[in-house]
Amino acid sequence: MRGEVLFEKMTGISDEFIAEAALVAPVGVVAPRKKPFASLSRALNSGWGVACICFIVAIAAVVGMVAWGRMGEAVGPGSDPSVRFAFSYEMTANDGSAWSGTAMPGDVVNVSTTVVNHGKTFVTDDFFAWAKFVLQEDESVVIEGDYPLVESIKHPVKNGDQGTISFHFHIPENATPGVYDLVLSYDGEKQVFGGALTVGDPNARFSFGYKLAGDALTGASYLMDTWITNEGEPFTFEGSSMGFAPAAVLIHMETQYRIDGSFGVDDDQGVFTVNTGDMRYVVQEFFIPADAPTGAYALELSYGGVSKSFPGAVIVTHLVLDYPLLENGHPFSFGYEPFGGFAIPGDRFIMNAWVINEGEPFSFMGDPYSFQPTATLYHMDSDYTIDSLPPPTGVEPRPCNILTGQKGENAYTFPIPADAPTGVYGLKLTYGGAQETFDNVLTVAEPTVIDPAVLYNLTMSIGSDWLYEPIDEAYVDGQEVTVRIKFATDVGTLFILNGEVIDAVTGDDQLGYWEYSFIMPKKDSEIIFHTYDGTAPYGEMLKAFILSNPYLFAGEEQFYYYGEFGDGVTVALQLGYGEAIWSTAVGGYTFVTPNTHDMMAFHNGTLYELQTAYDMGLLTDGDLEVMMATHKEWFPDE
Amino acid sequence: MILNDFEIVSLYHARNQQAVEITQKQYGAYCLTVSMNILNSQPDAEECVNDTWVAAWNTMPPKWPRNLCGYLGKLVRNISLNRLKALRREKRDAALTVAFEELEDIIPAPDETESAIICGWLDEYLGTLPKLDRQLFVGRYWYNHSVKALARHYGLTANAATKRITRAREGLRDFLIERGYTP
Repeated sequence: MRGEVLFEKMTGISDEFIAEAALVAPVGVVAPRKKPFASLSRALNSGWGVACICFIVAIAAVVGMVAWGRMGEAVGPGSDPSVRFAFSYEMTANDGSAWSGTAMPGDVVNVSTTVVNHGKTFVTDDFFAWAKFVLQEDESVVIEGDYPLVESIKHPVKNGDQGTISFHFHIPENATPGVYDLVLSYDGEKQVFGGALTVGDPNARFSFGYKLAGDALTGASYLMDTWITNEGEPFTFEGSSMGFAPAAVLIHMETQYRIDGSFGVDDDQGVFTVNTGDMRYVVQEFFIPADAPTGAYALELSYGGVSKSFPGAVIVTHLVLDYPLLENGHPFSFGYEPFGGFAIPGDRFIMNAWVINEGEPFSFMGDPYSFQPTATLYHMDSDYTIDSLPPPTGVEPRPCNILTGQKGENAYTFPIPADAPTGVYGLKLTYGGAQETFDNVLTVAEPTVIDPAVLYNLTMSIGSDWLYEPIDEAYVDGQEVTVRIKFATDVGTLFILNGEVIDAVTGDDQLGYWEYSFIMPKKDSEIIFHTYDGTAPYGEMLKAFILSNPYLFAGEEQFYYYGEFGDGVTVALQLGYGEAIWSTAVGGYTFVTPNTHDMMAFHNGTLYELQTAYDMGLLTDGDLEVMMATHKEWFPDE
Repeated sequence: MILNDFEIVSLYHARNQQAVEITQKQYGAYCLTVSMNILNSQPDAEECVNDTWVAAWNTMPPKWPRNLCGYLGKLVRNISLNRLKALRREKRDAALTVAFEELEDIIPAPDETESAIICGWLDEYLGTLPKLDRQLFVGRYWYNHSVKALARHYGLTANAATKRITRAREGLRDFLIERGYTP
């Protein structure tokens, strides 16, 4: 018992020493894998000890390569210069179907071998090939292959050549059930492939079962409980106690992709009796390759030539860890930019969106860039939605720690389908069970057809040296045109476009210019610009008219110089002092008496348009004539 | 997808239950073997392995083992030894006898205190051994593998494996004597 104490107290051994001595390798650790049957392991180390029969010219033992199942391949000679050939083989049932590994007495098995010459060139191609199956438990039990037909043989005459030979094996009706090694021989060299054939016992009767173990993940080991029960007569076998255990294989139900199972618990050797009703329970280990097809697999359990398939026993899925496990209601906030996007059907819309962890830090195993929201555009007047293109992936999973306040942002590309409904779209962002929606994020509209631009000429009555800023000689219609003219006097201006006064003016002597803006009409246009000045001479005074404005007194001279006048009301207003500037009065334009500033008038409520004005106090005789003519035209009775 | 130890331990520290699932898939067969070697009973071993997953979850954090294989091996081994004691109380099992006798033959009669002292030196001693000898020693006396299984695994004859293990045991005795331990 003292040794037991020491054994139990062996805690001083480091984890590294323990790990390096593990016989059963954890998944992903490189270590020898157990063979399904201990007898195979024995074959692996046993070497070749069977004397070859008559046809073989010479035999050199080549031991060390054991293949289990349908195909086998031997490594090339490599560092061993004495090995001249590399063998491989493939087995098929006589009907050409995939090889299950088991044949029954009376079956025909086809073996296609490939021999690659890694040695010297031969003088002749007159070599002989041979193949046979040897029972593992008794090397004296042999199933000979048929002579290969001459026409099926292609000799690897030169170094680098690849030869092929096909053999047919007729499994005798009285063949001994068990596991057989395949021996291939060619020109004095041979190769042994362990466990290539299992001959079933037609008298054996077994039942199989398994226990559901959940979905399997690609790239990981998958364990499954299986068992076999002897429903037939008692029998004995010699070797490993695991010799009575079901072989297992997973077969993808669509592609027939196969994943062999194994069980690796050490066991005893000896002679064992399996009685009727005896059951053997085995934990099968399947290593699911990372590139294995996902979906439903059938579990096929077999023993002694008897097999049973369980369709859909295992579902293989890809391992997905790119998400954290969060409590419900973990707080996140979301955002996006830019605001007010626009796109047309068939276009692409790109935007940034983000999620911010507003709660406690959390961790997960996966792509660190997976901390970003899922983005979906939704049509605000229908159920139509547009998903963003998936973000790039491929980053190896790693531990990800998301801190409080950490922001996960990405650029999202939305392909707007050509048949997407036009209108306004909102944006839904989701992450970790939280979501937020934003309305009016994107407008999708049909493109506007724009006519080719037509330019219309614009000319001015004054020289370009009066322009504060140059203007173009032509504009398209609808275009806003701004004209800035050098400031020259403080009395007033007239800016007339195509005969119509443009009265909106900004600018003064502080800015150094007058500014007029208008929309370019759809025709060639002309600007007439004048100023008028209170000091300019004028022909005659306007007479006063009766005042009817309630704010003014009729017939009286008033000092008021503003008022509100109803439409159609004739008013006259005598200014009582020398107001020089009277450019804009309420209700319309203003006439200014040039010298005395005595009068301004609205004639019969009509707003006069002063077609011509004084030009900065430098009126010409022609100007005066035009003014007088205009005035008389307006006031023929005066 | 195979995760390395760092990644798996990270999952434990993140309290991510995927950690247990992945540990089961990557170390399930290994832990089952360790337990089976002690208990020689599949149902009992499976229970111990399940207890190991609970222990791993409860100890990480704060533990952050550099070598998860060794760490899990210690957990399942201790749990299995405790189960063995319980079974013995019920007079149901007598495993481990061979390995005990071998140890007693070389290092007779250590009491609890002595065995603790010896075990404190074990790692130092194992570091002096060639790797194969160390693997055989640990395989025999830590994992309780049979000599036959060890020989087959390492491509040795049973005789050669036995000699190497015996030599390592004797080396341990000399190592302990040098440090003042009197058998």
